[in-house]
This record gives sequence, structure tokens and C-alpha cells, in this order.
Amino acid sequence: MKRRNARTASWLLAGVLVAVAAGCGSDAKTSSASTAAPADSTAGSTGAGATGAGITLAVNPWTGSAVNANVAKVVLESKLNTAVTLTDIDENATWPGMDAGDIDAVLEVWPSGHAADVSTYIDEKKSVVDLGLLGPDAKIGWYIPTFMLADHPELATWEGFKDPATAKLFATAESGDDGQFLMGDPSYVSYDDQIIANLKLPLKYVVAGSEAALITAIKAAIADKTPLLMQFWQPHWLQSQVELTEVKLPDVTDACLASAAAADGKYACDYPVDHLFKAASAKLESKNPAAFGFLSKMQLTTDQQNEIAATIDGDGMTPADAAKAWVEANPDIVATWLS
Amino acid sequence: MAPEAAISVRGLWKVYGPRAERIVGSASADLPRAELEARTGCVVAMRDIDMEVAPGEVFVVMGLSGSGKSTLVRCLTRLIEPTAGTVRIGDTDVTTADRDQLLDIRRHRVSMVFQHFGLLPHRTLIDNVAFGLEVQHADKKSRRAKAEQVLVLVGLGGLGMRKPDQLSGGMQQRVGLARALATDPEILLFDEPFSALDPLIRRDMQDEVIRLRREVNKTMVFITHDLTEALRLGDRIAIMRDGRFVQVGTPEDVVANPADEYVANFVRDVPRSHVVAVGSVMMPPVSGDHAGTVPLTTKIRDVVAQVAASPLPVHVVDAEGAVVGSIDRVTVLSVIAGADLIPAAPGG
Amino acid sequence: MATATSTLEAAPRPADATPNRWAVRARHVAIPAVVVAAIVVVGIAIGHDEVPTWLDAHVMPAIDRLYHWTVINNDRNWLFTAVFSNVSDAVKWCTEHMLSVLQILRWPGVLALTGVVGLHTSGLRAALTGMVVLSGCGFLGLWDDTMVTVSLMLVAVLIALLIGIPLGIWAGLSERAEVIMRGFLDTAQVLPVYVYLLPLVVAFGIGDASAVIATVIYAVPPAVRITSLGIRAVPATTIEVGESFGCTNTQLLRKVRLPLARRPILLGVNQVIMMAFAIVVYASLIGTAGLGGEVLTGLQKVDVGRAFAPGLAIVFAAIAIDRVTTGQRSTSSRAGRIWARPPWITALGERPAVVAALGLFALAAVAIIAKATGADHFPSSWSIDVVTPVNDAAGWVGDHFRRGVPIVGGTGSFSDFVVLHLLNPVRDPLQSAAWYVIVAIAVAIGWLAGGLRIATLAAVCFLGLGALRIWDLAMDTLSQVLVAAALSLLIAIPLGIWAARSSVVERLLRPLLDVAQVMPAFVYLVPVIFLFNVGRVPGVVASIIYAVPPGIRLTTLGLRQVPFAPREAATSFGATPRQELLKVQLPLAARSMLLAVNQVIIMVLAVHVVASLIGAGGLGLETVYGLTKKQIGRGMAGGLGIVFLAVFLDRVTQAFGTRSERTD
Repeated sequence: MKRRNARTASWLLAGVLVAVAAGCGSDAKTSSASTAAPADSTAGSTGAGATGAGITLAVNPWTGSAVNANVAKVVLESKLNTAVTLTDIDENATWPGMDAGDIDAVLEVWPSGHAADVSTYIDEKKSVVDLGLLGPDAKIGWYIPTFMLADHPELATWEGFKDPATAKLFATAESGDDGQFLMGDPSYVSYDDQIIANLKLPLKYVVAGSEAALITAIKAAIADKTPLLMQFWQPHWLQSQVELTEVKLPDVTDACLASAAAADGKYACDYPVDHLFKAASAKLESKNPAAFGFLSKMQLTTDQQNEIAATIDGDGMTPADAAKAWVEANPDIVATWLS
Repeated sequence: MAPEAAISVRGLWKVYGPRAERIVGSASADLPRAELEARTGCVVAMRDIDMEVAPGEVFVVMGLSGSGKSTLVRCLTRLIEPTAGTVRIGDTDVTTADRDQLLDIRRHRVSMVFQHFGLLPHRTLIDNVAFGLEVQHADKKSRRAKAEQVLVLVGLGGLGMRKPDQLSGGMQQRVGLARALATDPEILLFDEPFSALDPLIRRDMQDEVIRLRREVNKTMVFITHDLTEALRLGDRIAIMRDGRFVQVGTPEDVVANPADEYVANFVRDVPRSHVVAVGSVMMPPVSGDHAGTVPLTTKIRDVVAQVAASPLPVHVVDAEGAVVGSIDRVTVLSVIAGADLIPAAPGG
Repeated sequence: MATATSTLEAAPRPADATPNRWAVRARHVAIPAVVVAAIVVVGIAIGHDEVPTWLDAHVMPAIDRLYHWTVINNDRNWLFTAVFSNVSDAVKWCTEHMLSVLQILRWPGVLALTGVVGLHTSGLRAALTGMVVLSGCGFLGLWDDTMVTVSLMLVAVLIALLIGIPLGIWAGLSERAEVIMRGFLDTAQVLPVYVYLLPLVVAFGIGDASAVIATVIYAVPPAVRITSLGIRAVPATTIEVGESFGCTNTQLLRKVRLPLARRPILLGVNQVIMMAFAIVVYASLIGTAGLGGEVLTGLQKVDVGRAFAPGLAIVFAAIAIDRVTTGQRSTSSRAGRIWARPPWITALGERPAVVAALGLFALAAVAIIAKATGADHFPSSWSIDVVTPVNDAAGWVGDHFRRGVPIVGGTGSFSDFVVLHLLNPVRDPLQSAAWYVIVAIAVAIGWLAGGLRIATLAAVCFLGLGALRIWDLAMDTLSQVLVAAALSLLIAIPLGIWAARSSVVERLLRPLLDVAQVMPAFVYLVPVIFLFNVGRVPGVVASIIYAVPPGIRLTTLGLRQVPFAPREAATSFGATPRQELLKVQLPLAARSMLLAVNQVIIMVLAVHVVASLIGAGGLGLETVYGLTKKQIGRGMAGGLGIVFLAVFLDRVTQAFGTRSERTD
């Protein structure tokens, strides 16, 4: 009997809570909307004039992506009266998001990782459109910590690794007798095992598993002054914190690019340059043409992106504040995006 | 009370709860159980127990569940730590014994038979029986030989390689008994050993205890809630209620002279003729013809046939065969009919 | 003597023991030996060193094609437009409104609600614990993010219970339902989230809906299992009583089975909550806000402190909800109260409706006062910075433990030792042996554990690994799982024994175990790599952190559950505590110890995917491809490989467990 009372009481409690929730329905609506994008109400979407439909921009988990999205948000909200929601999301899940229209645009796509997405969503289904280049170029390559060059200047080029004795400097428990070549996230583009095999280097290809693992390994190597050879790239925030030197690989040739396209396993040269680009949901153009036009035109140079990133990673500003400060300080650049 | 008592208990208390010591001997110990618990959070399981068990005696503690009897038997070897009082086994003070002395008592001098057997299901019977020897670090060969011997004694010879779950309850308790005997202790403690068994099996096991007692002559403390069992086995019986002894005496004593209403209610339905020995109701010896002789300890019911067969009295003889009294139809009938017909005998 | 034995009941089982024991044993060995030999002969006859890979050729491309079709058609096909999108909207509506409730209450109201619920279900102690722990999220400066995560999790937990409890009741009542469900439950529980994350997004869109559904998939199995177990554990005599009074089946369920299974069902709720919180970080991969994203950001920046704070907030939220929903009221009252309970509390306890009304009133008052005073956000001035101290601590540990530690040399050389002397010696024979040898060994182990049934299962699982063309990866994973499980048990069993013997140790360990079990592995990946170098060892270490808690808990539980009677008997014969442990407790706890082994292995496998992100490689990495390279088929193959290994290891350890119960 007591139990039953207790249960009745708990249902009562639940019921009243629901009633409270329903009673405050209107209140609830506004508060939930504002939390969907906690920061955006402060940026001020109060201006008069033509108000575009609100849009959602993807923020992928690296600083550059946050810089682009926040800069775009500041401009869209202050100049185009378009409320912007920023959604933190994995870069791979971004594409189905744009496909469904849940995400309107992503401003920094690294083409090397998304060939399949480009062919599925842009070329085949046409539910996502290419918004043009962002500006910065990216370049994958082989890297070693710079301090190693003091004792081993020959490691500046790939030929330095031909000598098994030198390569053995990089040996670990996982690589055995060969030197270790460390790959970070295995889903990133990599020809490294082909390069090792085709250039006949005494190296073993070891996968760290993630970018975070790779970065940790780099930090540990630099802290301990131990040798490390790995795949890394520019631009990356770590490049401004530690000294890394790119190992020169054989120049890119047409034959090389052809074997990459054919996937014949004969790749044996440096990585080609990646041109970062922007993409948007196909629905964006009709939904908010002004925003679509602006996002197509918006571009940042590598230096500009690094400058804003430094205030975030280095000075500890929030991405929103950093973007706002930069937009206010650079009205002429912003103007070219809006023309 | 003999000074060479096998077990001697003085002022033994067990109180459960926070700061239990303060309850011992205090006025609050006499509060009703519920009130005491509400006030202090303490429960008195056993209060101020005194008892002496003579060597070779079977001392039965009888009480209903919750009366504290299991607590008492566990305090004797400190399986439960008493709150106050002393327990002596022979000349050793158990209550102040250090770890080694205590282990010595448990390993060599006192063994226990448990209500739920407490057998180790993963071991064979022989290794169960040998357990007590094993913890004494006896070597495998000798302890198995001893165990086999004891298994034969309890009637399980040749079954040593079975596992406990292949046996019936009665057989399992024989294993429990064998295990207790294997260490050849001075004292055997029984904690309601047969209460989980069927009545028929229980009787067998009681016979087994009586037989063992004849054969091995151990001191025994036997806990039970079964009055019939107590009367059958006990040299003396302690009736326990609410943690204290309400009466201690021989079976006849208890049945014939219940100390209070509680005990009287208990023994009301016991057929006196099953308990009362001829020695306690006999008349002075009469000369002349008699229909035969019976020993002093014969129960009344066992002379019924003799007195019924003849109008003559039956002579009662002591252990030496000397005639010490006589008994006739009237005496027997009056015992069977109830105590009211004749004044109770002065006791035994 | 003859009389004594003649009156005994006949022994319940015939004495089969001594004479034909060897025959039985021979049968146990001979048949598997023949089967194993046959497999090897067939294997040699087939003659390939590589496993037959027929499945790979057909099934995985089909999965890829199906996924591609889904991607192209998810805006046209009715299944998506009419069904999935409505489901998605409904779930979103729930999470949004759940969040609104929490926001209307504001932080004082949420804390008060925690207290009221805790008081109601679990007593004062749990209520206070819940409130203090939950407020920890505020002190970390993460209150708002916590509320977003909590609302998502609450919705997921409710849905998981709505699905899991009825299914569990069904499985508890019907043997057939249980058998059918078991395969699905195993798969749902072990299949890595990475495998189905992207397909979910394609079907249900990014954001809350997919995250909730992923969480539900992961959290339903324990709800079903524990409910079913509880229903089955209702004593047959009680059921008979119900039947004898003429209960219908429904009445029997409502009035007898369910009330008696209440405790296990509550335990199921608890497990569902814990499982749900394990998904938080994955949920943030597909566009949900909240704590998970903060963890990932910290990880991305390789900033331990920054990942640690939201990780800790996840732990706090999970523990708070756990404590107030499944309180240990009964155990605490059994332990004995130190203080006497004032009569007015007892009186209130008998009027739960009054208590509820009072609680509600208090709640409303708190929420209104909070609104009036503008306490919209947890005061930021109260927040405590953990980022810097954690980073300092991690840095200090990194500087001092990696090298120069006396004797062992440091974590770096320990790592090398594990690779060279544990992992490689286990992996290399597994990988280099011909496939049929491994299959034969697996079948033999299966046979020894559980006869034909488990042997068949072993064959299916291992041939499946070959057929999916993931043999070498699977052997790599298997070697790591075996090493990590062995090391985990080496740590867990002694600690579990210690905790069973000392309640102080148990109480000290408990919060640590909670943290280790709920803290997302992503949080400690970075320091683990820093200490143990990239490679398989960090993965092993991460697995150990995750697998040791259940190992300790089950060991302790197993030892505590050893019946009192044999232990007391042992003491009465003068066994020392050590003798009692070795001769009585451990042998009698063997079965629950095997359960501990079982759970440790499953946990190690569960964390294998995360371990693969820090260099473990193996099957775990394959499943990541499902998300990151949209090679759903490949990810599925890796995921199924993990399921195969898990099912094999699980059934074998379980079979050994029931066998030890049967024959010992």
C-alpha cells in the first residue's frame, strides 16, 4: 500500500513537472531557441531591413574551421541580418547534414579526404554545391623535428633515409629493426606506404590512429629529443608551436599523379598541393540568396587565417570574440566579400 | 558444579548495535526489545548467561528462533565475539585468548556441526571431512586415512569420492558430523544440526548422536528448537527465552517442574511417561513378590507392559543391582494421567 | 553400521563417479581431438594459407551499394520521408522540451529536483550526494553544456527503457524470444558506434535524433537482459501461489512477476544510464551540442586539461543521476543506523504524497526565486579552473614517469617490454599459423567449454573472420584483447579480493571505479600516449582503465556472495583468514570470477575501437573507416569481426562458468 502511494506520488510529481513545462511553453520556446546557439544572440541580429532566413554553418573540430565559420557568422549577422547557428560536427557527418539541408554550408573542406563525398553529393546527387576556393593551400608531406638536422643534415631529403643505420634511428618497439614512419589518422590521404615501398626505404609504416595521437607523439619526441618521422601538413596550429622540417620527397610528376588516380600502388613522389574549398547545401541559394552570394565570395588568405587562429590558440580569445575583433579591424576586406 | 567443568560460562552478554558495551548490565537492558532498539539502536541477543558443562555431559540449549541460542553456541569459540563475560574451555579462557590460542581451540579441542551443514560443494566428501585436519597442516595421506575412518564411523564408508550435492540432506549432515569428529575434539557443538531434515531422518540422526556418545564419549553442547529432541538427547536442558536461561535442569525436572508459565506451556503436551524415569516417582522398596526389576533410569512408558501384566509391584534397582524402590500400576497410571494425581517427586 | 545406511534416503544421483570417470574424460578429449584433426585435414586439403573469403566478395560491396542507394534516395523514398523523418522530428521535440524543462527550473531548480528525486527514491544521503556531485558540473563552469547533454541522455534513457523493459519482460517469459533476441542484443552491444553512425545520420539527419537513436541502440541491451533476468529469477513457488489463487497471466505479470523483479529492473535502469553516458562523445561527432564536443575539442588540441573538465562533468552528471535514481536505501538500512530516526521523519515516510507535495512546492519555490533573482546561469565566479592544474599534473607525470624511474626504467621502457615480450609473442603465432589451425584450436576450446553447441559457434565465428577478409587484423585484435584482459585481471582480482575483505578499501575504491568507468576514454588518450608511446600499448592501457572496474566489482561481489555457512564452518575449524580465502571463498566464487573474466574481456573489446585511435590498429581501426572514409561495408566488416570475437570469447567464458557450476 505504501509502495502504491509512493508510486502515485511520483507520477503526480512527474505530471506537475510536465504541466509546469507546458505552462511555460512560450518561455520554453524562446529559451530553447537561444540555447541552440548560445553565443549568437549577443552578436546582435536586431538590425532592421531585409532579414534573411537563418542559416547553420558547420564547425569542424580544428581552429581554422572555427575561424572561418565565426568570421562568416559575424558578417552575416551584422551586415546581412541573417541569424547564424554554429554546429560542432565531425567533418564526415557534415556532408549528410548538407545533403538534408540541416547544415547550410561548410567553409573549409580539405579535398584529399572527401573525394567520395564530392563525387556522391556534388557530382551525382547534386544536393551539395561547390562554393569555390577558401584561399589557403594545404600541403601534406613528410616531417621530422628540426633539431634532428643538426646531427643529421642528410635527413633534409628522402635520400637520407636510404641508409639502414640512419633509418634505424627511428626504430621503435612497434617497428622492429626498421625505422618507424608514423601516420596519424588513417582516414587522411596517405601514399606513404607506397612511397616507402617504391623508394625502397628501410622504414615501417605505423598508424597512430588519430591526429591527436600523432600530435602527442610529436610533442613527446620534441620534449625528449628523440627521433620521429611522420606525415604532417601545413597549415596546422602545431606548426607555430614546435619546429618541424619537411623532408624533401621526389618532385610531383604527371606519372605520379596518374598512378594516384589509377591506384596502382606505384606512387613514389611528394604530395600535390591541396586547395581548400567551401561547400554549401543546394537548398541554400533559394533559401537565402544573399548569404549564398556572400559565402561564395568570402576568402581568407593563409596569413589572415593564421592571424585570427593565433589570437584563439595563443591568446585564449573565444573564436566568436576573435572573429568579431578581426572583422571590425578589417572593414575593407569584408567589403570585398559583400560587393 | 564441578570445578573441572569442560565448559564454564560466566556472565556472558551479546549486544548488537552502536556502543554495545554500555547496555551490558544497565537498566536499559531490561527495556522491551522494540523500545531499546528505538532508543539506542541496540539489540540484546543474549544476556548474562551462566553455565557449566561437565565432561562427558550432553547439555542441550532449547529455545525458539530469536531466543539467542545460536548466538550462545557461537560465542563459545568466538565465532561471534561476546560483548561481555567469560568463557572457559577446560583451563583456557577463550574470551581473552590470543589468535594462536583461539586457533588451537578451534582446531584441536572444539568442533561444530552446523544447521545448514556448511559443506564445501567443490570438494569430495573425504576432503570435506579432512578439512579440519587440513587447516592444521596435517599431511594429505594421514588426513585422508583419518577421514575415511570417520566416514565409516558415521556410516558413509566408501562414498568418500562423491561430492556433497550427490547426497541427501541426512547424508550431508553425517558428513558434517564426520568432519567434526575427524579432529578428535574434546567438545562437540551442535547448532540445530537436524532441524533441516525430515522427521524420520532426524530420528536416525538423533540415534546416531546417542550411539556416538556411547562410543566416543565427548562433551556436547546441543542447540535445538525441538523439545522432543532436547528431551531425548539431553542430560540437562537449558530453556532459553529472550536471550536468557529461564530454566536449567534434567529433562524430568523441566517437564515435571516447569520454572514458569512459558516453560509450562512448552512442556504441556509432552507425555510425562516418556520423560519421567521410574526413579523419580517410585515408592519406597516393598518386600514380597514382585513382577520383575527395572533400572532406575527406565522411563515410565517402558514399564507399562510389565505392570499391566501383573498386579504385583515392580522392583526398581540401581546400577549395582540393589533394590532402591518399587513401582506399581497406580503410580504408572497417575504419571500417565497427569501430575495432579500425585504430588510431584522431589526431583532427580 | 548397516542399519544406519539402510535407513538413508537413496542418493539423488546415481554414483557415476569413480569407475567410468576416465571413460568420460576420454570422451571429452577424444571427440574434440577428432574434430580438430578433421578441420586441419580439410584445411590442408583446401591448401590455401589464406582463409576462404567468400563473404567479403559479396556481402560488403552489397552493404556499400545499399548505403549509396540510401544516400541518393533519402529525400525521395517514402521510408525516409514518411517514417524516419517523423521519428526524427518526434525525438527532436522530446530533447528540446526536456531541455526547456531543465532551463525553466534553472540551476537551483535542477539541483532541487535532483534532491527531491533522490529523497524520494533513495533517501537523504543519496539526495545530498546527487546534489553535490551535480553541482560539480557548475563549478567546472560547464553547467549549460551539462544540461544539454543531460536532456539528450534522459530522452535516450527513457526511450531505451520504453523499448527495453517490455522486450525484457517478453524475453523473461518466453525462451524462444530470449534466444532470438540474444543475437541482436550481442550485436547491438558490441558493434562499435562508428559502424552505424553515418548510416544513422543519412536516415535521421544530423543532431539530436541520430544521437539519441545511437544511444538507444547501445543502451537497450542491458535493459532487456537485466529485466529478463529479473523476471526469470522470480521463484517458482511464488508464481504457483499466484496461479493457485486464479491469477490470469496478466495479473500474474502485474501483481507477482513485476513487483518481485523490481530491484533487478532498477539495476537495469542504472546500467542503461551508464551505457547512455558512454555515448556522449560519439554523439557530438554528429552535430549535437553539449559536453561531448568539448571533450573532442580538447582532444583535437591535445589539451588534456581542456578535455578533462567536460569529461569530469560527464562523470558527475552520470554519477548524480545514478545515485538519485537507483539509491541503495535497503543496503544502508541493513548496515545499521548510527543515529536514531526522529519520529517526524518516520511519520513523513508513511505519507509519500505529502512528501511529494512538499517537494514539489519547494521545487516550484526554488525555481521562482531563481527566476526572480536572475539566477539564469550557474555563477561563473564560482567556477574552479581545472584546466591548468590538470595540465600541470599531466605534465609533471609525463616528465617524471616516462624515464628514470628506478628498476622499471619508466613507462616508455615498460611499453617496449609489453610490445616485445607480451604482445608480439601472442600476436605472431596467431597471425603466422595457418588459418585452419586457429579455427581448429578455437573449436577445441569451444568443445571443452560447452560441447557441440559452443564448438559450432566457435567455428562460425572464426570462419566468419576469414570470410570477412579481416583475418590478420582479427588476430592482431585478439592478441591485444588477450593481453589486455590478462593484465586487467592481474590488477582487478587482487584489488577485488582486498575490497571484499575490507569495506574501507571498497568505499575508497568505489568513486575511483565510477570515474574510470564513466570517464570517456577520449579524455585520457593523450596522457596515455604521452606516457606509453604511440602503438598498441596505450590501447592496452586504456582498455585496462576501462576493464578493471567491472573486474574488481564482480570479484568483490563474487566473494561476498559466497554463502556464509561454509565460511563459518571453516572458521570454526580454526581456518585462518588466508586459509578461508584460499580453501573456501575463492573456490566457491569461481563462477562469479569467471563472470568477471567474461566482463573484463567484453569491456576490453568495447574499448578496442577507441584504443585503435591511439595506435592499437586491428579491427577497431576498420570500423573507424566506416565513418571517416564512408566505406560502410569495410567498417561493418570490422565491426562484425569484433562481434564475432566478442561472441566467441563471451560464450566460451560463460560456458566454462556454467560448467564449473554443474560439475563442481
